[in-house]
Amino acid sequence: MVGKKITNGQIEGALNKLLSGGDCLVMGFEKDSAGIRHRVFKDSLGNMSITNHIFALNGGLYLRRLFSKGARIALVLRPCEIRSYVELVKLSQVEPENIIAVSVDCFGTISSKVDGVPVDPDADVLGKEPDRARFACANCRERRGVVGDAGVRLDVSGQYWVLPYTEKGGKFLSLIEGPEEDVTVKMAIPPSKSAAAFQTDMAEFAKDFSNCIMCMNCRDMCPVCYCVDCVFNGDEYLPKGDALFNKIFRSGSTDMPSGKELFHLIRMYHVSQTCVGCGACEEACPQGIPLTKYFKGISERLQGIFSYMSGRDPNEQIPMVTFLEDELKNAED
Amino acid sequence: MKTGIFICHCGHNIKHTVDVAGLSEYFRKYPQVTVSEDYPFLCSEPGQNMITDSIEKHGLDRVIVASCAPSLHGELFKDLLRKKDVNPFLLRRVSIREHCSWVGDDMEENTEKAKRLILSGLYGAAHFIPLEEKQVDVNKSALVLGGGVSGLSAALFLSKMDMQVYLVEETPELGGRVRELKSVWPSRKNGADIIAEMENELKARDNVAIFTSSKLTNFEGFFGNYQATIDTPNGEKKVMAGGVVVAIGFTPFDPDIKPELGYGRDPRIVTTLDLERMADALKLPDKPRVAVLHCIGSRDEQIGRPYCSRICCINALRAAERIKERYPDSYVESFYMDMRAHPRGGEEFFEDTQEKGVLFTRANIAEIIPEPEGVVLHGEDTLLDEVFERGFDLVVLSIGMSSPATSRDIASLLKISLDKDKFFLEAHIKLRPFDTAVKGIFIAGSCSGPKDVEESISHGRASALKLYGFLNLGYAFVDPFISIVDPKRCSGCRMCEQACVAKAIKFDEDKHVVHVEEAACMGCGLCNATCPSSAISLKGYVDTIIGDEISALLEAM
Repeated sequence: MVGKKITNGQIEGALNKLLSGGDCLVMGFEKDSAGIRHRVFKDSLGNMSITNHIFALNGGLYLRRLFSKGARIALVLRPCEIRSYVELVKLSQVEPENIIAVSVDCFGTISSKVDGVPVDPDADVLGKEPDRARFACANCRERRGVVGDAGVRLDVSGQYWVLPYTEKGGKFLSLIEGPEEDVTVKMAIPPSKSAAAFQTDMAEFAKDFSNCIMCMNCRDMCPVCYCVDCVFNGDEYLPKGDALFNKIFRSGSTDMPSGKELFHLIRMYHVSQTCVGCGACEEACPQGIPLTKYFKGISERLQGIFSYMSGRDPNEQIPMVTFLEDELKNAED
Repeated sequence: MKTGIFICHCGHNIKHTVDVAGLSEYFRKYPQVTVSEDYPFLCSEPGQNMITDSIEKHGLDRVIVASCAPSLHGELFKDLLRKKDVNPFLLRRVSIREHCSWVGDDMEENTEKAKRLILSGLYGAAHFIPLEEKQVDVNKSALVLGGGVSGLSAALFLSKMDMQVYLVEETPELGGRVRELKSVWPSRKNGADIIAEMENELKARDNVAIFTSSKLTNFEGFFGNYQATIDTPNGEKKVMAGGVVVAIGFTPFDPDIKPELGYGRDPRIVTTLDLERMADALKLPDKPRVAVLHCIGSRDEQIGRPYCSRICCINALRAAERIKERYPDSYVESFYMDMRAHPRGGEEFFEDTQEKGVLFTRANIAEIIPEPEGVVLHGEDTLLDEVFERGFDLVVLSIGMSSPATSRDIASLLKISLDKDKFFLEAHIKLRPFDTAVKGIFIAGSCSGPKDVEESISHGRASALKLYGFLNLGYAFVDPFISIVDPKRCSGCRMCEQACVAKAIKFDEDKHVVHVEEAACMGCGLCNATCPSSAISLKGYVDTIIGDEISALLEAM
């Protein structure tokens, strides 16, 4: 593979070239003394940072239903965010034609709920203070910038590289000054080990979710929970008033909110094939429910059955849409 | 809402383990139930009259018939509603015979179960709405896949019935395997002559388009309006067909799969088909010793062919007879498992062959070893319980039929099913032997399981006749149980499109939502189950019906 060595500012240079055309946007991170957060840049990059060690949300969320064929957009985001973008492409929720997706090596993140985390784009959370890393990051399956059209990767000597993975990525590479070189050096982040098999039971599940208030923040902040109108928006699954009291008269007393386990189980069934394990759901939960443990654990186990990994490859089809007869035999075994 | 519940005793069948009188009494207490009655035979004339009279007297708008399984008498009870101008889709059948009284003996438990089943019918029926059967135009044309005897006979029949026929054959010639046969039993006609006769008749007709060296590459649409894309030597052709007859034949068993037979390693080991091809070129000594082996590639679990190929016993007899006729002083020994000369005249043919001096030994052959002085068979005589070794000048393997090589491709293109042996599966082995699960697609000949020439021809004609019956009216009624998409809820993720067996779901690029082609929809509900936001519902089986029926089965009463 060929790539280009980059110094500080060279990526920004390339992105600025894109912005100068006037028809392109850049989605990435902005840093200032107050913090570091997502931003979509229009005319100039300002205080852009290519890494972000504080996790508040998954930027893939804001790409849903982006079908415009006029505007171009470059994404410079974490691998989990680019992976959710790739899943949304598979689900026809994003038109990828004019999007360049660049994944940047991720060194782990700290929850945005933790106070007093200094702004440091070079922070190596998993390497230097692993105890502060979020559960999702400590158990991340792919934090290398190897997904999307191009990747920004750090080698063992501390040198950053830009590596193209697709034709669009090649075009992005050509915007960067400097010679193309064969990449022979080892990268800093090794491939992740496979996840430990997740196991739980209904009692543990019910206990962990007993504090759920069904605010549905987890659903709203999930990048791959893409329905325009959720089944839980009506009274069908979340009875209130008469519907609730009729239900109680028919089937006995219920805890409140009624049907919260069903909500999470249905959501799990809907996203388990596409879940990237970013933990945005847990970040959004006001009740401190360990959502990542369940969603990431169950999704990785399910995807493993089909040798699938969400967001790894845009040409890899979601297991649900590729029914193979042989799979029935696997299920029997 | 005025619901009538009618509970059938089915003579003794239901009554002896279900308290039918108690049930009809129990349901009277429900406010939405206007009538609740039980009767010895609801399907009898007085039983039917009881239902129609109640509809008229009380103005019932929901009818629940708790009796046998819905597949029995389904239309009969629907017609009762039609007679009284009530929409027939407001009928709910509850099976308390097959699902209840026939299952257990405990009166109390059976009655409790029947109560639950009827209650779930009652809850579900509350959500019923009147549905209309839709009429669609159908194309009076047929696509016939495969130009063997079966396909040819189907094409001929349809063409004579004034239907436009498109015949697609993968090889450059029509006729399939029969063309290779020198003498087709029992008529002893030359296979090529049989084919020539059918081919000439077909080619003389002007409503037949024949595509040889061609393949079906795409298949879309719905009953009466299928669109097939055919890859021909003259480029791609698109045709419209009302229905399809699949007659792609079989693949002869390849004895290479069983290396112990030594096939391909010695010219003295041949198959029945090779013998057919070699015909008179066969060179044997004056008094040759010839072995004929039955069941090669049939009734063999180890190689995944547990079925009987049905044709190979007759083929083996023919091979033996042929050798005996050409070399009257030959020693011909036939090694069989069981003799299954089942077609008409087959048993007599077996007797004849024995009289001509062919020896029959019931045996299992373990190995065939070619030696310079002869081919040696190692086997076990299963009548005498003896192991033997015998040398021969020629070994003929009577090979069976394997499923057609392209059966998987065709099945996935047409969305029809294969059986465990990869032959096409019929809709019902006795009642609908020519139909597939997809309306308007029929199977004919040996692609649906081993058949001889005679059977293949009649199978081809029968499928053609059934297809003709379907298309002849020029229109068809479509079941009202079809999916509908709520465009406001649809996210356009296209998961349902992948799940749809009938290819009835189409994506609208501009609006970024899907819609269902009503006439193509089979009403299977797969899209419904796939849709994460419940944007798709199946008419007649909407989620509230299913949900309430399940509640009725599980709730405290």
